[in-house]
Parts: sequence; C-alpha cells; structure tokens
Amino acid sequence: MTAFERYYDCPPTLTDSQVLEFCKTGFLLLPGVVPDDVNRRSLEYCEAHPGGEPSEILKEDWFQHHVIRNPQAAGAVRALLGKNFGLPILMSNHRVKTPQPAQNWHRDGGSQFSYDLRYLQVFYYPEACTADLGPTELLPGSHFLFAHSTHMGHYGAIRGSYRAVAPAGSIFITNYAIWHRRSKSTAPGLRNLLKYNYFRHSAPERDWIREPGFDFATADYSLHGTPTFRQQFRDCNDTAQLFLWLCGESERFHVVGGQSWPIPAQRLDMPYGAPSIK
Amino acid sequence: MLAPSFPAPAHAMSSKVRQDLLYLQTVSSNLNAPVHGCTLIEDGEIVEPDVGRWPYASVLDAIRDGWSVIQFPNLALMTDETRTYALGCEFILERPRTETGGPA
Repeated sequence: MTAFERYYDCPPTLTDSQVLEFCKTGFLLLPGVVPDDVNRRSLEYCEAHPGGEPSEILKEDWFQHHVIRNPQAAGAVRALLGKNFGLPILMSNHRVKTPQPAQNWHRDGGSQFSYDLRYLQVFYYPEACTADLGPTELLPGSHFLFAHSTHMGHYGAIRGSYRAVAPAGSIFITNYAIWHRRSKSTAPGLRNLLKYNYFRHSAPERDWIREPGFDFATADYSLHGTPTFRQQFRDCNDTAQLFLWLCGESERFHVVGGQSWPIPAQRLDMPYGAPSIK
Repeated sequence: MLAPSFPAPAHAMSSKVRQDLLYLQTVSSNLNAPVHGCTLIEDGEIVEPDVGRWPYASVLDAIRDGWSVIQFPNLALMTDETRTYALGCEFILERPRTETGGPA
C-alpha cells in the first residue's frame, strides 16, 4: 500500500472521433480491460467488505494500478478531463442480489445540467454481467435531456436504451448526468458494480490524439442509431457545444441557424457558420 | 346498541373498479406519432413491455382499444428553445377495469 495520491497524468488514448462520440452518447464501454487475477482479487475484496462504500480498496496498489490507473481507462479519462486529473477518493459498490425488478431511471444526485465536462462517473464490473443479471441500462444522449430524477419514476421501457452487458474486467465511463438504471434481472446471483468519480483539474484543451484531416466544419455531430428525443438537429448543436468546450474553444461556438453548421448535409461547399479551428 | 346500518359510500362501491394507466412517450404531439417509451399499470401492477413490443404503435391505436386520454403533452415544459425537457411528448391514458377483468 502506497501513500495516497490525489492527481494523476498519463498519455491520452482517445482520438478526435472518439471524444466526439463520447460527447454524443455520454458513455464509453471498455470491455475486459482489467486482468482476470485483478477481477478475482476485487471480488474477494468485495466479499470481505460487503458494505456500500468500500473506499479503502483505493489504497490497494494492485487496484490503483490495474483499475483506477488502468492504461486504457485512465487514458480515456485523461483525454476527456485533461492533464493531472483528480483520482477517485470514494468508492461505491452497487451490490445486488438478483433477481430484482428494474430500478427507476435516474440521474445520480449531484448531477448538474451543463455543456462542460468537469467530472466523470465510472463503473467497473469485476465479473461478467449478462443480460439476466440486470446490467446497467443507459439512455444514449440523455445527458442533454434535462429532468429531475424525482420526475423520471414513471418512465419504463425506452426505445434506444443500451444495456451494458459486458465481460469481467469491463470499465465504462459516463457523463455523470446520463440517465441510467439497473435493468431487470431474472437469474439468481450476486452482482457487484463498483462506481467512482474522476475530476478535472486543468483547463480544457484539445490535447488528446489528433486525427489527421479531422475537420470541425464537416465532422458529423449527429447521434446515430437511437432516438434523440430532441427537436430535429438539436442533438448536433448539443454535441458541438460540448465538443468545442472540451477543445477549449467554447467562445467559438455559435449556431447561425437554418441549414448552417453543425447540421449534417451533403453541401457544395463548407457550411455557413462553421468555426475556423485547425 | 347495534350500530346503525348505512349504505356503503359511493367510493367504496366503485373500488370494485380499478384504474389501468398507460404512459406513452411519443415522437410528436400527433396522436398517430410512433411511440418511443411505454409504461403500463395493469390491474394494480406495473408492467414494462419490452422495447419494440409495445402494446400499441401510437396513442390513436390505444384510443381505438378503449383507452381514454387524461393528459396531453404538457406544453408548459416546451417554452425554452435551448433546453430539451426529458423525453418530450407524453400522453397519459386510463381505462377502468372491473373485478372480473373486463372493461367497466
């Protein structure tokens, strides 16, 4: 066990397109990135510490190295939150005996509706979570849908929702404001789901992996494959506003309206209103 | 002394009839718009149909099957152009059911 460190830096692992995709959907799943022996050790720890907040696990070197500072997960966090980001200092375990009915849709307490990204909520499955064990269900793009959790209780099945069925050792990174819930489980078992937060500690800038030829004017800002629940093209505006904030270019975000940027279209020339960013 | 006998109040008699509720979130306020969210309260139980297996494809389909709209989409939530509130258009419908399970 080493001295506890609050801040961390590592190489960012996401590209322009991957950061843009996170802005659209509000989550990123990294399947099976934690080694099996660490998953087993994490499960043993959860068995020995079955409470809802086993935060002492954060003091374990093996957990810090392979889960909290996991190169793929921390690299993605680094891309989204910038250099020297704040490490988790609180661990929650949503440990549930199944079968259970679906939980109410909600945004976690403390969630703030905004077009910036100053903290991330991250989930770690130390064991496989199959569909019958009630995986976390997320609504893509819902971090842009303002609603109080107390007024989501009557929502049930929603078209386009995503169930995070994943193998052991999977980590998924979410915008804290995304709508989510524990989905209905049908099989008897015990599901552990560790949950923790990272925090921004630097000003936003485009210091992730730059893609040659990535063009802010023609990039696709629309949410695909799922309802947006918004007015037509509003998803593009929402995504573009958050993406430009992450690039440190929020003052350049302006929507002219009509068929201008950032609405997707096959135009004869560059869209009107597109920001000039290289 | 025996307690006087009174007829049962109207609400006690009507408790034999249960209220089923249907929440439908739709693409637009058009009654024929596709459904993209659904919760059903049927005979006192909350039922969540699987996505894609909605009991009705639209609010109009539900009306044709005996449901009555008791709340239309709340326009007061849609006055701010820059903010999307929740899932948008929501209809709430009801259908009374008798103890025998049939429509009242």
